[in-house]
Amino acid sequence: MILSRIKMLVGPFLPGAASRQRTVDYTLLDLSGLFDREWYLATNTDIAASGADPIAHYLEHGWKEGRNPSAFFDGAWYVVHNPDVAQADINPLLHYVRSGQSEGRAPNAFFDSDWYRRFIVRTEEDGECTPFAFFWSRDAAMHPPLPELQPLYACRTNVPKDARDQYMRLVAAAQPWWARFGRDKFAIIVALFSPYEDHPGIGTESADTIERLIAFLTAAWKMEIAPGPLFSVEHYRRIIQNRGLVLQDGETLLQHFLREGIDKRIVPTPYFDENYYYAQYPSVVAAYTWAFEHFISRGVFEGARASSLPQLIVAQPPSMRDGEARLNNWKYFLSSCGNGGDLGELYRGVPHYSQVIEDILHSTVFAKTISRALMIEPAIGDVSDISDVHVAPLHDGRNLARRALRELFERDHYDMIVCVPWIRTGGADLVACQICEAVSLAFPNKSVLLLRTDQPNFDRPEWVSAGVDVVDASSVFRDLPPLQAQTLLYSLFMGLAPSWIININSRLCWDVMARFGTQLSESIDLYSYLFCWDQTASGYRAGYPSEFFPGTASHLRAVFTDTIHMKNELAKIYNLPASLSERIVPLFSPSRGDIGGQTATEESIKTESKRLRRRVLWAGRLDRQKRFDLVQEIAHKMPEVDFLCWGAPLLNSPPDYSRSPANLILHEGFSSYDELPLYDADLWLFTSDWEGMPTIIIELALRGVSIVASAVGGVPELIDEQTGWPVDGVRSVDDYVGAIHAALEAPHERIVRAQRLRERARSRHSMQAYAKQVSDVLNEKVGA
Amino acid sequence: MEVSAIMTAHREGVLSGPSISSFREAIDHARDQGITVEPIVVLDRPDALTRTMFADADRWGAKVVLTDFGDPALARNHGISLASGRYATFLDADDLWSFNWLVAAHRFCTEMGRPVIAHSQLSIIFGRERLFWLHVDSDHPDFDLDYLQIGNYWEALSFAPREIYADFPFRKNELASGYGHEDWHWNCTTLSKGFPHKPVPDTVHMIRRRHGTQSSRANNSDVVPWPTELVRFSR
Repeated sequence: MILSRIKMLVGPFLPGAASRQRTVDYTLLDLSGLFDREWYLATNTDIAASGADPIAHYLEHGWKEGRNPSAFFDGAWYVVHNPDVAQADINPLLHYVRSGQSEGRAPNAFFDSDWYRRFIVRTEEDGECTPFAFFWSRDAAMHPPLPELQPLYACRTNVPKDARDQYMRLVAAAQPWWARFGRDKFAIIVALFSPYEDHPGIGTESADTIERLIAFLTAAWKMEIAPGPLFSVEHYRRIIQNRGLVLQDGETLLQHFLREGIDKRIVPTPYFDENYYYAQYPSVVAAYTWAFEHFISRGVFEGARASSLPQLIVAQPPSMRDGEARLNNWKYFLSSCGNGGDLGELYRGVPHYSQVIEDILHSTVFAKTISRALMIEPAIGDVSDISDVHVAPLHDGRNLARRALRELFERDHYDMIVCVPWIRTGGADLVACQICEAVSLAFPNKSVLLLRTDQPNFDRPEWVSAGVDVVDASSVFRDLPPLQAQTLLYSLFMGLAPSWIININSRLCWDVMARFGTQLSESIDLYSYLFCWDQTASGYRAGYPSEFFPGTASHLRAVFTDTIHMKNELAKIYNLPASLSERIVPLFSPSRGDIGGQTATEESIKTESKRLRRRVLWAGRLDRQKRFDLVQEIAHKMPEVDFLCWGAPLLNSPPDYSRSPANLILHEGFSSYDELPLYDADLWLFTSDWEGMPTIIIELALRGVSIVASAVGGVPELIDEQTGWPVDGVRSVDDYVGAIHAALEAPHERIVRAQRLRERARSRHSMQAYAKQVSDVLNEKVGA
Repeated sequence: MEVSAIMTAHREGVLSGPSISSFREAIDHARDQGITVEPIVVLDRPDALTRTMFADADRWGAKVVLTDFGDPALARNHGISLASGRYATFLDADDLWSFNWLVAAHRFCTEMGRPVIAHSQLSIIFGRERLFWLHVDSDHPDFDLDYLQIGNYWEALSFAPREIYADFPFRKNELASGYGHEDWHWNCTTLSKGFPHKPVPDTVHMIRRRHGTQSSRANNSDVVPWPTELVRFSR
């Protein structure tokens, strides 16, 4: 594009081909942005004195004499690293502008191609290009060009829009240092640099770490500026004076350090104790590395200690990536040196308390105190070997979680908290949303919080009624050890100070009620739902009822069940006295809306004659509990009937689909009952090994569907001989087949039972009735 | 009387020997500085050995009382009921004060010009653990009051106007009911009543950590401090 523009600009005016080419080259460099006239003249004073045009000089002589066109483009380096350019003996910048740049060649040494290739993971979508071309293409999301710049790039908060321009300025600022001292010592300057230091005189207000480095490199080339606590101007001056070393003309102390101090292994900071480091980390000695260089380039990021001074313990967030941990170690060190910059909330207070502890330990009165105390009690021991300092709350990781948790809540109080593990698609998830709605209906002025504690899933936001706040705290709790998570949830409950807490299957909440139920119940009315036992693969009961009911029953105002069956089971198993049994309250879960008109059974019988084959519907999770294997066997035994099924595995591995006969057609799950052909089918088959009160039975009942169902758990409370076809032999294929046959052969009876079923469901499972029940329990604080 | 120095002992046995020396050293140092001090020793359900350790306490001027609370909170409260000092301070019978504790804390509280609760600037934890514990100032701009919802800032060996201890006694530990941490609770209570907690420069306490103490039992169980208004988000 530049070339075509040049041709357009200069083409018509040039008489001869050579002259025309020179003009093209001139304009090409002029427009490339890679020729810096001012820099060229400042660097080459002889040319400035001659009054020659810098670009013309470079084109004619400069490149041949090894002069560079700008701080950014290093012609000599370019020629050395591009043998084809060297062999062609051509102007390196012209080559770069014409083809090198588009070929992805690097313009200078300020890009570590080999490291970058290893450091950056590229996908196929990134395409084939050179490391530098990929680096250049990243633009605003630019990676560090050199490994030694990684920490500074990783700390960036205000990345400029034009990162390429910034990179070019960075190269220019680094160029004199690099040219005089080489890359290894440039890496040391970078390691000494603290972007959080207040550098008076560097002339930038930017908080961007790279911008600050550019400003520092530029200013420190001529001024005495300390890069950070790892290089103290005063400390270094004192040492070289003591050792009789002198500065060269115009040399700064930092430049002296780079020229001579490093070779003489002069530690330029009072914050590093070389002898301590060698003793503490003998591998450094073994590797014949200079301890200070090891510390600034590696140790500080690995959390190595710089001196024997005891160190403030600063708790780190529990879920940190390795890179973050390394940066935090570095920030910690900088803050412990008294840095007042903005190192983040985590390190607020570290400079102050680091100074306090240092002042104490170096005070005369402390020495006197310890001396006298050790005379009295030798067991106190040599306090110089104490390495850790605790300052509350800096040392306490729980406080980070507490603060993170607190930030999740806009309100500082709720009247009701309903705890759930998550909101997925299960019946308990629906009940949790419904009880929030019921409370809102019964107590319109009360604030309600639905709190997800175990997992972030929120699959059914439409189930949550308006006015109910939903908060996911699982991310905070999940990162903590269980006991800490429990304590934190306890303090959250105390902080939000609700009148009521209802737990609906949140394991964390159960644990808290078991551990702190006594204390919580003094100011909060606690409730928990128990739906049913799970069953092990061997058929034994397991789950929350056994795990938590005995330990929490005395703290709970009431235990809610969704069936009478569950209440009876608990009362029977635990031989409950009346006072406790009364506090188990069956709440009949409401349907999600009443369905008017004729029953589905009446409608389906009207169209029965149009169906060529009988049609039985089934839907459920394809998990062990729901016995899809039974459905497969029933279908085998009833080839004259089509079994239309919906479901997907959720908790267990998938069933053997190959066992399904041709008359069983399986669809994936459904999201609405309207998707099911309830009005164009003869019967619903419900199979299960154990249950509370399945939501699907309630919904089907309200639609007046004829149902053949396993008589498990609370199912018989809706489906009995009056309202459907219960199957007592819940694992007997023949019993199901018999019941299906009986139902199919009695269409009138199907209508009668479906109508009764609908009436029963309407009277038991309306939101109005549910809200009334909930209101009574919460108000009266009594059982059923 | 300026200072009531109260030492509470339970079953510390021989460990109370160094604590007695520390107690007496700080008292002597304060008296040398012209501060009147009354030593009070509360032997709360002590074992025989601990009792023996204090057998001659009355001879070095201590008022010694025997109680049967079996509880550090009630033992301290009882000490306060016997105290007549303008200020009071506590030492557990297995811990130590820096020799200057009474002098420095007395000067600090006097010069403060308002009732404050003074703590050592530094505690050296020794025994089962070894670390430095730096006490923070509740008046510091970065002080995070909400941390008291989950953790404690200051240990129990405080120095304050006697009235504060009398008006806000320590609560008896009820570990079986899930409540304890009487020092943490007391800190919350007094802070919420407007008394700042402040470290006294140049002072050190040496706190012995060992197994089986009531505080270590509280730390290891499902025990929390009694709720105060500080636990609520809506204060």
